[in-house]
Amino acid sequence: MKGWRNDMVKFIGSIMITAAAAMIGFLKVKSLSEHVKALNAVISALEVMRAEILFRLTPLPEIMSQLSRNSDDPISCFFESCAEKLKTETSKPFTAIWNEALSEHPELPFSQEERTVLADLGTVLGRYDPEQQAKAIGLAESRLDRFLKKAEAVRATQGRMYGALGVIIGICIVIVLL
Amino acid sequence: MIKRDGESGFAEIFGILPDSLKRAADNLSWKEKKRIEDIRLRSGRCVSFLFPEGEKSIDGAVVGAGDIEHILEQATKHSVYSAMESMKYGFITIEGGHRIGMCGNAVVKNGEVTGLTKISSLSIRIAREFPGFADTVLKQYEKAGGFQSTLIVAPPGCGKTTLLRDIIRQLSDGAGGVRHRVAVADERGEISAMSGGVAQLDVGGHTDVLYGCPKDRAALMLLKTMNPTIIAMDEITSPADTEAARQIANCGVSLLATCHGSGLSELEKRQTNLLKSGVFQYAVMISSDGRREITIERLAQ
Repeated sequence: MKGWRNDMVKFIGSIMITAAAAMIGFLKVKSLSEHVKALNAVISALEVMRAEILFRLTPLPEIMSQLSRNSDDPISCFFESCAEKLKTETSKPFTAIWNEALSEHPELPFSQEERTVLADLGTVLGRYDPEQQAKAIGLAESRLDRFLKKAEAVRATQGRMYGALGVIIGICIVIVLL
Repeated sequence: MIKRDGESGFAEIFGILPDSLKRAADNLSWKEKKRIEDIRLRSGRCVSFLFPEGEKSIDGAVVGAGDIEHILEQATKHSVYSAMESMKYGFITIEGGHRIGMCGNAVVKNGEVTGLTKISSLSIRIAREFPGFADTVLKQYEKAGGFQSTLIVAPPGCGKTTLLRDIIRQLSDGAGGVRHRVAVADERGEISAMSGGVAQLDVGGHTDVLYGCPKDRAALMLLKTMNPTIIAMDEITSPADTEAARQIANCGVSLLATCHGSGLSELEKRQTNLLKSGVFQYAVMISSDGRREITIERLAQ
C-alpha cells in the first residue's frame, strides 16, 4: 500500500515537473510571437499615421486618439498614453510626451534598438512639412520592418525548438530525480 | 459660445507661451492685459506688447529661438505640418481666431514661396468681439431702407475684421427687422474661428461659413451653393478678389468686405476700379488714432 502511494507521488511529481518545464518553453515561444505581433501592430499604426499626415494633414492629437482606438494590442496602450498626455500636459513638447509614453510601457515587447527607432521618430514628429514627416515615418517603418523580418525568422527557427526543449528538459529532470 | 474680450483672448494666447514669457506677461496688470492688441516676439529681443498707444517692451524677457519654436508647436497642436499651407503666406490662425503673423527665411521654388524656415519674428494678434461695434453702421442701413453693399476701409490693426464680424452677426440675427442669409468666405479663419465645424466667434444664427478656401473661389462657391442674400469676405487684395466681388454684385447678391487703406483717396489710387465699379454703395472708415471712430460715406455710382 505504502509502495503504491510512493509510486503515485512520483508519477504526479514527474507530470508536474514535465508540465512546468514545457510551460516555460511555451512561454518563450509566446514571447517570440508577441514580439512579432507588436512589431506588426506598430508598423501598421505608422502606415496610418503617414497617410493621415500626408493626405489629410490631421494634427497629432487626433492621430494619437485615432490610433489608440484602432490599433492592435499591445501598441494601442502606447498611443492612448500619448493621446492622454497631449490633452493634459499641453505645454510639453511632443518629443517629451512621446518618450515619456514609451518609457511608461516597459511591457511592450520591443528590444532596445526598436525602442530607439521609435524614440528617434519622436524627435521629428510634428515638425517640418508633410512630405518630410512622411519620409521620416517611412524610414522608421522600414527600420522596424527589418526587425520584424528578423523576429519572424527567430520565431520560425527557435519557436519549435523552445517548445520541444521545454518538454525534453522536463523529462530529463524527471529521469535524473528518479 | 464664449464672448471673447481682450482678457479672455489674452488668456487663450497665454496658454501657448513658454514659461519665461508667461512670467513676463504676468508683470502686466489685468487692465493692461485687456487692452493688448498684439504680442510681438523678435528673436534675441525683449518681448513687447502692442497697445492702442504703442508698443511696451518688457525688460529682461528676451525671446530665444526655442521660444518661437515652442509657440509654433503649441499653436499648431504639436503639428506644424498641418499649418504649412498658411505659413507659406506668413501666418497661421489658431483656435479662438487669433492670428500669428511670422517672418523668417522664405523658401522660394520656381518663383513661388513654398514655405518659411528659421522663424525670427512673431506677431500674435488677439481676436476680439465687440458686440455693438457696428451699431452706427446698422443705423445707417436702417435710414437707407436696408443693407447695401459695403466696403470697410482701415489701416492694419484698426478693427476691420472685428467690425465686419459684428455687422455679419447683427444682419444675420435680424437687426433692422430682416434676417439675412450671410455667407462668409473665411479664408484665414479670423472672422468665425471655426473649430470642429462650429464657429467660436459669434457670426449670427443665419450665417454659413466656408473656411480655409481662397476668398475669390470661396465667394463664387457660396454664391452658387448657399443661396445667400449677402456674401462677406475679409481683405480684398488681389485682382482675383476684385473680380469675384464684381461677379457677385452682378448676380443680385450684396457684398460686405474689408480692404486695407487709410482712407478713400488712398484707396482710389490703388483700387480705382473697385470703388468706381458700382459694386459698393457704402464705404465705412475706422479711425487709426486708437479711438476707433467710424465714419460712413456713400459712394458715387
